[in-house]
Amino acid sequence: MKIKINRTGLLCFWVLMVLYGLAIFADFICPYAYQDENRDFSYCPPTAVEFQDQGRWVRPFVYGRALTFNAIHRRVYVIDHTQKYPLHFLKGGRLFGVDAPGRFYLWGADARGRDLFSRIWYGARISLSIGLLGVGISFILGLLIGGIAGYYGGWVDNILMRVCEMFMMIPGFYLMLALRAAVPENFNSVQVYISVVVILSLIGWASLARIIRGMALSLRERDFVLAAKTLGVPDIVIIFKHILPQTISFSCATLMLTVSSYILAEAGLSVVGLGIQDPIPSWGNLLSDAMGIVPVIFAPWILLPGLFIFIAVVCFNVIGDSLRDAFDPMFNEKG
Amino acid sequence: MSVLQIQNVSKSFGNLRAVEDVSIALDQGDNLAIIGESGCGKTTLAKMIMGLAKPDTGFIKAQYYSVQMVFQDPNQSLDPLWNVWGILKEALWRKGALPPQDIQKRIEQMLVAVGLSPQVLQRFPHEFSGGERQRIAIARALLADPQVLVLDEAVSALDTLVQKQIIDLLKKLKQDFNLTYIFISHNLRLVRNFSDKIVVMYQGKIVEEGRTQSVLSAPAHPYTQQLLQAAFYTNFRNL
Repeated sequence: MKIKINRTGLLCFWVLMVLYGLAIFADFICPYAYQDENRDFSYCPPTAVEFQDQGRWVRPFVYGRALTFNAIHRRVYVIDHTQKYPLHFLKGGRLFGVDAPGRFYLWGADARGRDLFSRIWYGARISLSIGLLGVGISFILGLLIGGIAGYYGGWVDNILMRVCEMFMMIPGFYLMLALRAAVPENFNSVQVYISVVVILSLIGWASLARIIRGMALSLRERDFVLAAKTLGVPDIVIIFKHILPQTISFSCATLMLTVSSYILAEAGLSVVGLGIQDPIPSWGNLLSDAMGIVPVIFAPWILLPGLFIFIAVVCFNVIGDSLRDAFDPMFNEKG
Repeated sequence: MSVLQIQNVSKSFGNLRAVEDVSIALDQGDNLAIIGESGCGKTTLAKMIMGLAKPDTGFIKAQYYSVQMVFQDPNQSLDPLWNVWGILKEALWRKGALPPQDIQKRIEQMLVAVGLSPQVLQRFPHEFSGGERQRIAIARALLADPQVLVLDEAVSALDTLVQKQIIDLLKKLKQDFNLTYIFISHNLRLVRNFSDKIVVMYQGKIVEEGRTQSVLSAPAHPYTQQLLQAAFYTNFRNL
């Protein structure tokens, strides 16, 4: 089967690939580790890279900065033109950076003087993977339960669909909070990560299962399924071999659309402090720093993680849409 | 020797009585045609014979999995996402784990038997013509070693020339594999050409049965007469 995806979808695909690439190689690309803090540079604004020194082109460098307070006790960083820290590349296993005590903040620093650029890409690891993992689990659940319910029908269908409805009738965010409340407080970061994945997947499977069930209900009457039945092929094999593959085009498109909602859900959970815990960054808990109006006014760069959430969500949605178009035979024949 | 016995079988869907008190006994080597208009219960009967539906009353006695079916539309009966190899291998499911060479040999032999080249194994259903697809469907049914083959309008979806080829093939396979046929159709010309015995169904009931020649030359039931007249008309008296 040949899938032709439209140009916008392709563009979004490559944007996502870049985001995932940066996340995967965060150790190399980021100048600092995510927990590397320096309280002398609290809310330090983005550092300008200088290319000229007294009119001469030189190796790129940054000036040192000193934290002072002005008359109304607001932080002011004063550029110290006597301190110059040349940018070095590929030193210590990192793409770029400056020697201590200089600090290089490409996109500014957070309250504890941690580099936002680094934290965004380390956070991308969590935010971008959690959506995929959560979707993976809820898809396995949704396909399996939907397939079984639709294929068998009758009381099996009834019971499974009532369970689905129980999950669907609780508003997603509150269900998420309730499930999060059931998770012990003293989990370490890995355990929290896994529990957030599980929580996300538990809120999403039900709607998928209902749709797959509807498709399976009609597919089970198709001749090739009846033929497999008369050949004595076991039901579970029929479900996996004949029913679920037929739903794949729909599933792929829905999968992409669901990933974005999971990224948002993780962000939502982390923004209110119930998701990934500091110091481990995720785009959600990075954004939770921006909940107060004061930091946003004086350090607007801490909104940057929101931009990346936005980009990732838009990309997944566009890819999902164009996949759906690509799989839609009516749409394909025209173009 | 009886290979299939249908005894007083009835089936209704809500108020609709699809099949009513039908009894048919089939001996080894029979070639029985079931004819009747759309909605007369032919397909419901076929589904009950296949075990895909349960009769409300009565019983159907056949050896376990000794009945296989060829469906009307080969576009529908072959899973579009699987190649010929995947489709045919499924027919050997009940035989348990066979050595791979053995599976390969059986499938290739069967493809030759239905008049296809063994080279088509990697191809997908949409790459075949309707007649070829029906040959694949027949090969699949025969790979399960059936005694009885139910042909549910098996040639109705094909054009006339291909119909003849498939009918010839079915005649040959009947000899080669010692098969018993139940040929479900509304095409009287084909039936006369193909089957020895005939059962006429009307509104879920059997209204007439007997040898093909005698039923078609001297129909007793008004419905059969009507059916014959209609067939005369559509076939320009070529029957």
